Amino acid sequence: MNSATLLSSAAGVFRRKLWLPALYFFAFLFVMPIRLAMTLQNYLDPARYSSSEALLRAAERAELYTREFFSAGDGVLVLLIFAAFFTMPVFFAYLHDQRQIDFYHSLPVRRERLFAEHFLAALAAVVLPYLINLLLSLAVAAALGTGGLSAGAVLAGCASHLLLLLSLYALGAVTAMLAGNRIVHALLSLVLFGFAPLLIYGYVSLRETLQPAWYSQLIEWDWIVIHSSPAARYISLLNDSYPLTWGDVVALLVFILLALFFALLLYRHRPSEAAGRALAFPISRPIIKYPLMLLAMTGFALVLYLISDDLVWYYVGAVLGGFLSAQIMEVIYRFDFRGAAKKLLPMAAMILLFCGGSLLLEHDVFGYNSYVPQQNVAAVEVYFRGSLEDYYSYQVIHQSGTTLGAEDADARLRRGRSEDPAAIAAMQRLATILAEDPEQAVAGEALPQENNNHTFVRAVMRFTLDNGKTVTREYSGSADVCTVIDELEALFADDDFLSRRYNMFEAEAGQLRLQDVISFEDISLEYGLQPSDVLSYEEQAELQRLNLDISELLATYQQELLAMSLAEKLEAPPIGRLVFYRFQKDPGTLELNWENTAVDQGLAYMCYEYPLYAGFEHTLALLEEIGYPPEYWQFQPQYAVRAEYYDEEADAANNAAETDGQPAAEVTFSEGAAETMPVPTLEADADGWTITGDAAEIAALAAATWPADACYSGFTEYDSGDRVTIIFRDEFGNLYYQERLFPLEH
Amino acid sequence: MIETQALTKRFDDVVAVNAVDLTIRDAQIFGLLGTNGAGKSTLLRLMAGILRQDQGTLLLDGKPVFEAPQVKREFFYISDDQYFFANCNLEDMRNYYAGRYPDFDRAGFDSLLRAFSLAPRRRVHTLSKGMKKQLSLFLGLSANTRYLFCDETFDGLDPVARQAVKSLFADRMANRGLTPIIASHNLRELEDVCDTIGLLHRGGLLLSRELLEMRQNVHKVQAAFRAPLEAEDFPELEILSSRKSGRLLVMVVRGELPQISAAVQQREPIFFETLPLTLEEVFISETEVAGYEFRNLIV
Repeated sequence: MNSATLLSSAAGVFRRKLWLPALYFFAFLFVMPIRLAMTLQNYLDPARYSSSEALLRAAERAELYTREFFSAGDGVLVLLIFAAFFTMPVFFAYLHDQRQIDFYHSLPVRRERLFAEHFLAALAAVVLPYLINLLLSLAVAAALGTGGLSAGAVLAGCASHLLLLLSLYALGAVTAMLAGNRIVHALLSLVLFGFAPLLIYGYVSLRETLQPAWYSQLIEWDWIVIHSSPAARYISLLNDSYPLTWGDVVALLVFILLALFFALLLYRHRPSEAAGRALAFPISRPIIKYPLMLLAMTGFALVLYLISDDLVWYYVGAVLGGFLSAQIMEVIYRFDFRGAAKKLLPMAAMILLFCGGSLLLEHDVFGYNSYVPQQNVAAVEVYFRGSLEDYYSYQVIHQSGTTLGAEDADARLRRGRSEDPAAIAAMQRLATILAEDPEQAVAGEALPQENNNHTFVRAVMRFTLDNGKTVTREYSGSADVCTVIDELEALFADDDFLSRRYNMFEAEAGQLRLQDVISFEDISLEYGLQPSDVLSYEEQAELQRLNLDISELLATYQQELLAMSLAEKLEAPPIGRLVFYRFQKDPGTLELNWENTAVDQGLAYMCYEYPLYAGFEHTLALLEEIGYPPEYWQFQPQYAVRAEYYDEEADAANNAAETDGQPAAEVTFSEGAAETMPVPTLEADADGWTITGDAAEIAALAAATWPADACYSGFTEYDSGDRVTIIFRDEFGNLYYQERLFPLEH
Repeated sequence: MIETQALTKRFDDVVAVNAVDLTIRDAQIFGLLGTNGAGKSTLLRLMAGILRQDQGTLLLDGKPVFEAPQVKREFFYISDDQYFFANCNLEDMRNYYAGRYPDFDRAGFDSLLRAFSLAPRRRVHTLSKGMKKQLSLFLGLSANTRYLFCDETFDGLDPVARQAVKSLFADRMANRGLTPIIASHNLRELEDVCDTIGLLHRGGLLLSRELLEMRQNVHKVQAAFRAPLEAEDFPELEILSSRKSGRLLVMVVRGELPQISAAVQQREPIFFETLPLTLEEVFISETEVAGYEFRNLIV
């Protein structure tokens, strides 16, 4: 009896393709043990450190790196994804070659057995090199003396790699069965690996473009995208946002089983004569073609729309994408360029359908964009875009999944919740006004400076109806705050709303640390500029006073902040912001470590940036009392100003020379020049001028360079090639950049 | 025994095998004859379970072949362009097939290699086309199956090798009832090998006969008569074809020789003789009767 066992047959297949695992072995060798050895050697080289403390910290970092290396290992992950894409076409190549098909399918072996042999061999081709190099890496880690590795963590990391690899392989097996030749196999792998995420992103982008009121909670879509494809799920492991959970493991196992079952089913019904064709099953042609066409139409339409900002180009893109994708696929299907002339009617119907649907959305035929629920509203949640958000950001720096939870796109809405009937009615009125978009005519044009958008309000609202259903709209229209101040005040009069809005105060005092105080430049405020116009390019010096008692400051600040009316806030924008970190534990017991915050230690913190107003006398006094006098953190009245002048020729020259933003000329203002030289000029000599003066002088300069009829439409759009960047430097050496567009008087 | 009934296989719009009814009895050499595209390879691939028929039945000893490993152990398929693993040697192929066919005769295979001076460690890709054909046949014969499907296998074999293969076939047929089924487009390749021949044309089976029977049943006579007789003057004979040159009438007639002779003698010929028929002439006659021009069917 000569019969070979499944494993020995698989081993035979493996030996015949030995070149591939050999290549993988060397790739893993460089990515795993060699890379680990070199990195750890760098970390642990005493010659690189000047103190024993630094060396000690380096050892800790080396340990953290090692732990990270074995739990995720970005290089391994990239290599495994590549292998998943590349291995299946090699091991299932026989399906795409008529000679080999005749050979294998004439043997007294079931197709299931052939499938299992080749699948196992393909798996071993990647897994064996990986495991060998994993062992070598462990040996490296042990030899270089980095401890702290737990067997559980290493096994968990290894298991997650193998599980995701297996899921990609299962998908690859389905692809192998569907494809008729190697080229289509490779293309189809790309499609199956990335199709679902792309389709979801296409859907989201499409609705955002055509339905301005549609509120996409991107973080939730991200979650869906990541879980829509094993490849996307695998790539998501590159960051810590979505670690594998037990639910994922179960889902992946089910997916693997289903995909393998489907692949086997396809193999059983796969005609041998399909070898060499584009697709093994003719029925799969339209199933693959039309969704891909949809994707191409969406992609082309959105790209052309983004470039042109004109919906006409959206439709041009849709037609172009539909036509090109349909014809390319017909050519691939038939391996004949004459295929481009086939199936024109279904293509035209598909394009018409897409454009028709887009037109319906664009013209809001179903009244989606303007819908405001008028009755049976139990609660409203509001998130204001722009200045009404008080300039604070709310973000998770690190998250461990414990009590602090994650800040998602929905959190801003949840923090703006009100159940007060007066507030709800006010928000219904505001929503109706925004849906009508009274400022549309103005907003659509170039706005003069005094109409800067801080005076407008835009809002996302979610109405919770009595029956528990919710209606969420992102009202894209805008209204002048002065015209809707009553509605806004009604909302801000709700104490519950305010307490949710400033929820940092719920934290225990011991959880909060004052991290920084940052000024908004008073020059900006005086001239109605937005703080966002002034970009700080150099990191603010962090206060780093970890054990400071801020309980009194917090109480005072809370009192002053909540006591301030909305109208007062609008009249006097903040002079700066307080930055707080909120920790899960007593901050005194933790050390800040920006690079390697250990999630498994439960260390997680959030960052709050709350506004500081000039009227907060007690808060400002307390800040000074605890060691933060205004001169420490406020913008100082000593300035050096340099203006860099750009023009189209300079930009063209920069582009040609592939240099980034070299100005055509730099002009430095001399002391006292603000009075005589309010506008930068190119006639200044090469040494330039230096100006030393107070805020008013600089403000005068800025004002003079900003004529009332100048057009301002943001940082990214210019109506002319002439622009000037003004760089302010304070006495601490911090740089602040401002870009202005105005007609230069040469 | 292999039986097909209304066996049909289509490739898109092309009917490669069209309602073929065929019976191949055991322990004989069956030749499948036809031009390129006649459907020989497709029929063999259907028999080998590579392809699944669209219609009809195909039974080997009463059992369907497709996806039936037990049934597939009864035959070995040699394609016209047999696949061998990249960079493998003869031993590798032997070992592979030994793992697939339970009764594979390793010693027998090795002795065949020795007999034909083929080194077991030699790489397959260094073999000539004819040597690869030999290797395929040796593997097929060593698999110890009851049927051997050969697609154009004799194409490329030198006369010595052909003779040797015939001997091997004869030996296996005698010892274990091997039934080789050989597809070829060349009648001359088959006529000295096969017992039965099936003629395929455009996917359909024109005829399937034992060669001996065909030869015994068809006769070529030529005779000269005083009177100017034509073929139509012999209504009692089944004349397949006729040609007249002067007074000499040449006829290919189906039937028993004594009856044919009697019919001719009755017309008092000046000259009369029977001539040997080549297989090609038999086929020409048979296919012309069926309404086909044989030279269009076969080379």
